[in-house]
Parts: sequence; structure tokens; C-alpha cells
Amino acid sequence: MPFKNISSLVNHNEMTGFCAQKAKEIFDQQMQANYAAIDRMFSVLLFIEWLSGIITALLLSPTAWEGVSSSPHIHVLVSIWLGLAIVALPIGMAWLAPGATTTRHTIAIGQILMTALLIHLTGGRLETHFLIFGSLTFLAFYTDWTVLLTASILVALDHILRGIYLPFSVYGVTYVEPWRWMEHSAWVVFADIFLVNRCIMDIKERWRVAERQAKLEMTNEIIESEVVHRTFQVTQSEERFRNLCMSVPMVIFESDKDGGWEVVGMPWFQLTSSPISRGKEWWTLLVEVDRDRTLESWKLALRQGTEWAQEFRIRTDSGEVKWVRGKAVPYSTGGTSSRRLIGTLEDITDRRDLEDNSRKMMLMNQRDDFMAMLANDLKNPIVGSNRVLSMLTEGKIGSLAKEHQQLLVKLIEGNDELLGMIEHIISVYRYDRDVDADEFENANIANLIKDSIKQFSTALADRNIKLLINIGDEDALCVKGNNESIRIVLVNLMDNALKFTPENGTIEILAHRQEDSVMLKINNSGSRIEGEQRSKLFERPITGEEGSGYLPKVGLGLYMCRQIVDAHKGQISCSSDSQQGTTFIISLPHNHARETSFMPV
Amino acid sequence: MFALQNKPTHKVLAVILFAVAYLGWIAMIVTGHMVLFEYEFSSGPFCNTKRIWPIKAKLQFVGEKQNIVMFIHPMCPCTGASVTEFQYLLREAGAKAVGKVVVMMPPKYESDWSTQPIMSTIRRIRHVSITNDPDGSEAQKFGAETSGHVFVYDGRGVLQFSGGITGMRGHEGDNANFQKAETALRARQSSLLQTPVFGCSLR
Repeated sequence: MPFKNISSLVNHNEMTGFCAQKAKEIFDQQMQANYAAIDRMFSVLLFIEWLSGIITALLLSPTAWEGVSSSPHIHVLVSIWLGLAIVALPIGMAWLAPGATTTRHTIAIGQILMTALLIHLTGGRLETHFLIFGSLTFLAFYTDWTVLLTASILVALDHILRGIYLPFSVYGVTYVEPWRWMEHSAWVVFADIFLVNRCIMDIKERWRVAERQAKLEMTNEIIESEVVHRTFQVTQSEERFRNLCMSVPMVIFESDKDGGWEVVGMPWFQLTSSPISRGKEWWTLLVEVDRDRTLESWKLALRQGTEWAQEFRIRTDSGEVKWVRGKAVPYSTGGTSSRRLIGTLEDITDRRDLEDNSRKMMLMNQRDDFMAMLANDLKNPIVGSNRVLSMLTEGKIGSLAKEHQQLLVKLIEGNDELLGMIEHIISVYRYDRDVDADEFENANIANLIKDSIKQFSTALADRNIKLLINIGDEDALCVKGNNESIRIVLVNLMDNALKFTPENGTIEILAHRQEDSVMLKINNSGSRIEGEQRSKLFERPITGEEGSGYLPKVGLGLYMCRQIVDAHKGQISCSSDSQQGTTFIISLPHNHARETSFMPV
Repeated sequence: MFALQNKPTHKVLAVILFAVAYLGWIAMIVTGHMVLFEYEFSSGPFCNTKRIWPIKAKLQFVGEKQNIVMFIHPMCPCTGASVTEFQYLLREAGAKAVGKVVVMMPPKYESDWSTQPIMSTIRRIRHVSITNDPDGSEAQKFGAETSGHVFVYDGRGVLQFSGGITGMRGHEGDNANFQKAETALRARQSSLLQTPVFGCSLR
């Protein structure tokens, strides 16, 4: 193989294995293509030579004569048939097996034989001998010096054999010296030296070209691979960016040169419920009161290329008003004409609501503090007044008429009630602020009931009110809570029941476990509370109906009860009808831990 | 054939077919060359030749000079080579010889044959006389049967050489036949020197 021959001539150390392999592939392809092309060229050349031989024979020796009679000359027949025989196989192989090593060597043999025939047909003319060198030159087109070797060996063999047996047919003389073939062959060798050298140089050049092309292709492959890799990275980056834009809980937008927006991602739709995401249509979403200032600041930032920050409201497609904070920074893609703003939109409705609530809470706390302070301040003169009144009724200052004493007693009672109310007010406001679920402990409802009713025994007896207590398993009535708070609830409810129960009436207290709750019911046989009033019993502030006394009821007790029950994650309600009377029902979560701790091991 | 090389069995078959074709090709070429050279080296028949100038010949003998006579067929492709060698022979002989070319020229074909390029070539040779032999009688008198037959007579009319002066049909160049004719020119020979004649038949 020519490649194997040339391989030893080329320094492969300079090439990497892959590049050398690639260069070999390219080189082989090019050489194969060259061989095939030259094969086909020779097939045409041999055909022309065959025709030339026939024409030559027809021109120079068309007929053989015997006297006046003639017949086709054997040269004509030989040029046709022998010529055909010579060119048939090379031409056939050139088309059946182009590029094969055997093909070009067969062609070389055919070419030399055809040249010899032409020389013979022209009567051994010296000029025709030049075709030998022409043939070698043509064969050198293969750049395969072994083909030249085959042709040259054939020429030498022809001269040797004919020199021995038919010297006149090749040398034109009947006697030749034994070394004469060497003289003829030497000229062929002389030509071969240059042609073979040319072949080797040509192969080297082709190898270098193949090597360069291999390196180029390898570089291209590396570049293409890098491009694919980078493209993949860019795609991934874009995907990441897209996902980020889609996932980030804010709208990312880019302004166009007219001040419109191009919005990226779904958050825009989530924010506005509007499919509009381009151009100036977003202006229409601005709430009227915010529109002018928002657009003015936006256009100014766009015109001056400065940062933009604005909080404004938009009205979504569903009619909901949302607070939005828009921020944008300028960026330029070259020149002032391509100045843009890129920024974000954030839904701050919750934050604004929180701020509003905080503000309201602060105001309420201020009010509560004021009320507590006011109550406290009110308490002092009343206590002072009661002391003076007590001293008057006790006669420490002087004796009073019985009617006067009774009036003073009533006044003291009124003051006490007023003090109680003030205490309630103070307790309510204190409880609103100070309740802390972390301080809850185990509270037994049964014990708290027993403890609470003690203070009402005298009042119950005075008014002949019957108190019925129905408590189930006492140990099962444990809740997690603040004992004092729950006691306040019970006292308030008992106090209420006592107030609204007529003389000789009945108050019934029931407590039992119901699934995960402890149920407490306090029923009185008092008058019915209307439904509308019932729904407002636990609200603050409320003024109830006038009681038997002359002071109106402020109703803060029930509000405080609800606050305490709510803090214990319980529920409080009220039912009332003319037959059953009025019942306050409290449900508090049962304290499992406590119960478990009592369970025998 | 080469498409069969895909399978090992087919490859062997292809190699065998290729070898057979190659051998057949070589055989055809060898056979063709053998036929060719057989023809090229086939000479005309040897004939009995009188050693003195034929008395009845119309062709005039020039006394005291060597007379070199060549018989040709103007249409024979081999005549060209013979005429060339004839010129060399005359040059070798120099002024002591005269050349005579007897051209087979049947009257029926004279108009065509006499205009052949070879006739112009002969006419351009110095000291050569051309004689037409319409009926072949002169050739018969000299005993010439093949185109290119050369007779060398010495100054006394004794035949010194008879035969062809080319090595093979239609091929010019130094050859043994020419050398014999040269030998006959240089000195009288005790015996007639004869060579084969390569050319077309004159009869």
C-alpha cells in the first residue's frame, strides 16, 4: 500500500493518535478517489490507443498484396483483435474494480503492451518509442511508484526477451549486445527516478494536506462539540432563568422604548388575573387615585434613566384591589435610544394589611391603656367616697336618721357595683393584653365550680334561689388552663345567673366530660333573651337591658368570658327560651395528659 | 465479480475467476503476438537465380559498375522499409554502383499504383532508374518473386547477392540481410550470398 510506504516518511510523533487515524482515513479516501479517477482516465486512454492502432494500421498497412490481388493486412487484424485483447481486461477492471491495486497494475501492463503494439504497427519508428515515456508519465499520475515499477519491469523484460529471441522486433537490428536491454532500460530508469521521486513528493504533499484537513476537522469537531456544550449550558441557563422567573413570587418585567412592559413569567397572571403582559395596557390596571403619580414617576425614570420605586394599587380583572411595589433599574444595550428599565413587581397587599392592622392594634392598645388608666382613676374617688359613706352609716361621724342610713347603704351598694364594673373593665383590658397560653396548667372544673359558688351562698339564700349542681366524674373534668381565669368565667356566669333569676327561682350547674371536651352549663330560670340580643352578648362593648338597679349594665363580663374561653381554645354560647330559661354553655378541651397521669400503672 | 467479495466463499470464487481471466488475457496476448511475429518473419520463397545478368532482360546492364536491382510492389506496405534500406545500400556503394528499381505496374492499375507515395520517394533517389514491369516478365527473368528482392551484380554482370535487405516485414534498420548485401558490394564473392525476402508476392 502506498500509505504504508509513505508512513515511514512522515513523522507521526507530531500527531496525536486520533488525528493520525483521522488523517489516515482522509488520505486513504483521497488516494482511493485518485486511483479510481486515474483508472477511468486510463480506460479512456487505452480505448483511444486501441482506435489509434486500428487507424494507424489502416493508414500504413491496410492491405497485403499478392500480385494484383490484395487482402487485409495482418496489421489491421492484429490492431483490432490483439489490441482489443490487450485493452479489454484493463478497461473492464477500471470500471468493475476502480481503485484496486490489481487494477492499476493491470492497466500499467496493458498500457505498455499497447505502446509496444503501436510501435510495431508504425514499423518500429523511433518517434513512436517516445510513447513509452509518455506512458510512464501517465502512470505517474497514480502517485503510486509501484505501478511505475511494474511498467518498467515489463519494459525491461520485453527488451530482454525480444533481445534474445527477436532482437530486430525491438532494436531494429538482428544482432544486439547482451547488455543492450540495459541501455534501453536505463533510459526508462532515468525517467523513473524523477517520476518516482515526484510520486513520493506528491504522496507526502497529499499526506500533509490530509493531516492539515484532519487537524482542521478535529478542530471543527472540538469547536462544534464546544458549541453544543455551550449551547446546552446556555439552554440550561435560560431554562433555569425561565424557571426562576416563573417561580419567583414577583413579576419580572422589562420596559420597551415606549414605556410599555414586557412581562416575564406566570406571576403577572397570578398577580393581576390579566392575560395582558405587553405594552402600555398595564396602565389601565392602575387604580385611579394612584395612576397619575405612578405614571409620572415611571415616565420620569424612563426619560432620565434613573431608578424607579413606587407603591401603587392595581385593580385585577376580578375586581380585587391589590397593593403592588414596583422597582426598576436602568440598563442600556448601547446608546440612549436603547435605554430600558428592568425591574420587579411585588404583591405587598398582605404587608400593607399587616401594617394597617398593626396601626389599628396600636391605636386600640392606646385606647385600652387609656381606658384602664381611666378606670383606675375612677376607682380611687369611689373607694374614697365609700369609706366616707361607711363612716356615716356606722355613725362614726355622727348619727343619721334610719332613712338616711338606708339611702347611704344603697349609695354604698351602688358604688360597690360601680367598683365591680370598674374591676371588670380593668380585668378585661388586662386580660386582652396579658393572657399567655404558655402559663396554662391543669385546672379541675369541679373544684373551680365548688370554689366559685361559695361567695354566692348568702345572695342565694337571701333571694331563696335554689342551686342545683350536677357534676359527673370530677377527675375527668380536667382542662389545661389558667385556674384564676376560669374561675373569673364561672363567677361572671354565676353572677349573671343570680342577677337574672327571679326570687324562688333555680340555678343549675352541670359539668361533664363529652368526648375530648369538658362541657359546663349554667342554667337559670330567668326571662328569655331575644335572639338578636343573644348574638351580641359576647361582643364588646354592649349595654344590656336595664336591670333592677338604676345603673345600666355595660356587659363587659360576658365579653371577658368569651376572651378567656377563646384563649383556652374553647367555645362559649348561649341558648334561651321561655320554658328552659337561659343557659350558658362552655366547652373546653380536655387535658389528656393530666388524665393519663392519673391512670393506674 | 468484485461485488462478490463480501463473503469469504465468494471472495475465493472471485479470486479464482480473476486468475482465470488474467491467465486467459495473457494467453490471448501471447497468441496474438505469436501470430503477428509469425507473419512478420515469414519470408518469400527462395528461388533459383542465375549468377549472370539475364540476357533477355529488357533492363540494361551498365558495365564496369555494380548494378543494384530491386523489385518492388508499389502497394506493398513493406516496400517503404525496403526502399529505405535500398537507399542506404546505394550510399554504401557510392559512385561505383548504379541503382535500378523495377516496379510491378500492371497497365490496369498503373494510374493508381504509379501515384503512390513510394513512387515519389523512389524518384527522388539519385542515380536510380525506374522501370515498370507491366506483366511481371522482368521479375520472372531475374527470378524475383517477392517485393523488396534486391540483386547485386558486379561490374562483369555476375550476381553477388540475392535476397531481402530488411530484417522483417516492413521494419527498417540495421540487420544481417543488409549486412550481407553490403558484404557483396565490397568484394566479389566466391559464392552467391542469399537472404530471405520480407514483402508481398509479385505474382
